[in-house]
Amino acid sequence: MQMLSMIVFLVMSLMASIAMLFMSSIFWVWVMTDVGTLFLIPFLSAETRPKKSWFTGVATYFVVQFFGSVMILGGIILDWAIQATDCSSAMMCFGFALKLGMVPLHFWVSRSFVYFHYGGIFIVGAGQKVFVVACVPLFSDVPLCAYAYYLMAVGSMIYGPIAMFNAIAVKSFLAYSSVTHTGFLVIGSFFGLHIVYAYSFIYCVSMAFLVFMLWSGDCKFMKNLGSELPGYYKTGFVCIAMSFSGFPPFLDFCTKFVIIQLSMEQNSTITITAVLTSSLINLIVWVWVLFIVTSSEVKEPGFLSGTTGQNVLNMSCIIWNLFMGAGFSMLY
Amino acid sequence: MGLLILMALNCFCVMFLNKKDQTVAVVNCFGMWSAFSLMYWGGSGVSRESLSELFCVDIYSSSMISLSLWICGISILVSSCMINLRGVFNTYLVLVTLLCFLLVQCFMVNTLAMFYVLFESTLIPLASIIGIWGGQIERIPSIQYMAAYTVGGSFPLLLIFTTMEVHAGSSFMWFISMKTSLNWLFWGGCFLGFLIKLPAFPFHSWLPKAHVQAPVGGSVILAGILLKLGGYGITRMMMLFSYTLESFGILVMSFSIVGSVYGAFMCLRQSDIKKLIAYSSVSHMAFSIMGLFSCTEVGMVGAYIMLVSHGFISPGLFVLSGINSEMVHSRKIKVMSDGVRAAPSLGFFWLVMIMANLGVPPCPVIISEVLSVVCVIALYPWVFVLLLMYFILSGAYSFSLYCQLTRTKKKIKMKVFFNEVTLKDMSALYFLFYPLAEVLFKWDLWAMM
Repeated sequence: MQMLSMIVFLVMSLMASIAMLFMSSIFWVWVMTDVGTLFLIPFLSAETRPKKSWFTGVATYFVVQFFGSVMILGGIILDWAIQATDCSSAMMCFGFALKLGMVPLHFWVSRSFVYFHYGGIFIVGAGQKVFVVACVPLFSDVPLCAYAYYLMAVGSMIYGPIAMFNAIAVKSFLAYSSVTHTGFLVIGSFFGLHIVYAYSFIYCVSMAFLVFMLWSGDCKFMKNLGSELPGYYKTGFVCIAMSFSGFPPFLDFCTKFVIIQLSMEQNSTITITAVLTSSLINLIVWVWVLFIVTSSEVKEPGFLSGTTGQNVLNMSCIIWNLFMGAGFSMLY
Repeated sequence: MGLLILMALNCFCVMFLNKKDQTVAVVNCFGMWSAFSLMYWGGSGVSRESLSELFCVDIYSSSMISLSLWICGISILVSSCMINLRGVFNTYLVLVTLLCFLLVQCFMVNTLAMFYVLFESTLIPLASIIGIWGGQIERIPSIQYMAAYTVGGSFPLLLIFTTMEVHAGSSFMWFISMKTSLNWLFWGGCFLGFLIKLPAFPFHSWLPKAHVQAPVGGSVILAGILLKLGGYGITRMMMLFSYTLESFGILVMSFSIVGSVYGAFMCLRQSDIKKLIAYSSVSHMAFSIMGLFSCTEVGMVGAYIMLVSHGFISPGLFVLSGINSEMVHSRKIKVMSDGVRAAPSLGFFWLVMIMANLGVPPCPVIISEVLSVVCVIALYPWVFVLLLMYFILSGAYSFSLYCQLTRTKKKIKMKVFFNEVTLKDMSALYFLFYPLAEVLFKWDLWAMM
């Protein structure tokens, strides 16, 4: 019954988010965003063994999202009532940045994620952010806000991997990974919605694989990843780690290459520097993760040693990370 | 393309063999592919045997291809004799074959974009080899160092070929651009990644860490062929952008001269045999850099003689150090002398390899050193003082190494785990001597007609 309710609320949140994409007025975008967030609350609260911790995470998430929504609504009303474009754009910029968890307004992300279940981490960290990024107005009327939004995205890209290095818990690690990729998504939005949609799809699928593998092992701490992650998923996890490291010819390298190419066409030096810096730090972080995962004193089953479904998932993950990069490059 | 198809088909056939036969089969395959690759040695200019839309081969790339295939075969041969290669040996075969496949493609491709992708991709199998079969916990930081240096250093190259793709529509490497005024920042971006890979002083610090943590087979491949990717990349970039002698090149040559002396001095101070060989590589690669950046035909010939010769000598030293250190379970030079006393034939092989490393005739290294010295002195004669220091120091560390290995101080009990070296153990070393002789007789192969 609980699973059914989770699915129902998730579907309703998804419908609200999809509807948000087709709204032409910023007010209705705000409404649909909030409706989606509200439907997520029961989904995030669902726990088979309720304990205080879930409440802490969901409450933190709800309060932050509420405050962000208030700022956005305030901005909309100000613009409607007194046409104070600067002030309203600043409030909306602040509100969206808070909702997305961009640096320096990212304080809630790790605090919430640590208490979420893995499904919640995927939905909040990847799914929801994708829709919100696609609907953010880029503040072209107010260059100051546009620059602030852009610089927050750059900051997220660079700070995220540094914070990942210091993560002790797996969920905290995923939180900062989400901050990093939010930065990439926002940067991509400056180049066009088609980049956002393409990168979102790639990011969501990769995160789905990653989160599912971590959930199946009930991984808690980074130092125990090697022993907690199931052996039959290790090859897939290694492929994901190599992809997120930015090694060619894996998938994440191809997406970053496209961003760099677009930045070069528009002479955006700051973006290029930020992407390269972020990639370098990401490389060091994920190499570290790779070796935690592959160093295990426990004798465990190896490649293709799980059930059919597990092996299919593992192979799908390997194929996705290894070959989709080339596919994406050819399509783009 | 024919070589790649042959490699893929052979690998497919080897998969169906008995696991015990796979090692021998793979080694034989590498021998066959090396022989096949000799078809591409058509002299200077583009080889007709390998012209296609994706690939193009000339004497520089064909020599590197043959070197890759030979060294990867040697790596498998030497690793199959090592008892410290724990785990599933077939994984090692797969990784080395994959690495070789990537390297061969890297030396064949037409475009800078594909070259970059393959250049970076070679890190993955090597990092896996070090990670799985490396001895100590410090292998993780060593891999991070290596990855960060290589990937970070080649970011400017990524930007360069992206610019080419965006503005020119292609990063085809066989276009020769008109010489325009390009500043040193551009040249730095072009060459930085390759200078780090070589490795050039002062970007060399990753190499000793990587060599110490890598297993014998990994060190053989790293020293034998992966470092040469840097030299090959520099050659291609120079051809593509019509590089001539510039202030940037003079700066690089200056650092290289200092680096050669520094490397030789560091060799004198080492007690770990693998670190000594690593610093020796830094010294020798400095001569390649001097030759390449001198922008003369003589320098280019000297550089490639050094690249190819070093590609056989350095792995030979690592093979010997692997056998010797397995006997005494230590890489300390003073402890390894017990092994040499237990198996005196090792002393002879050490002498031969140390002399080859030093550049004693008839080893081709002496030809390379002479040609490189000539190029550098032509620019500024007083550089000879520093080069003289290098020759003295290299003689000193070589002599010191041999003396430490073969000291005859009597001990009551020799701590060795086995006291004979069989033909199988030394087979990898024998296969390294033959190509050195070939290089000696064909040293003018890289001269442009």
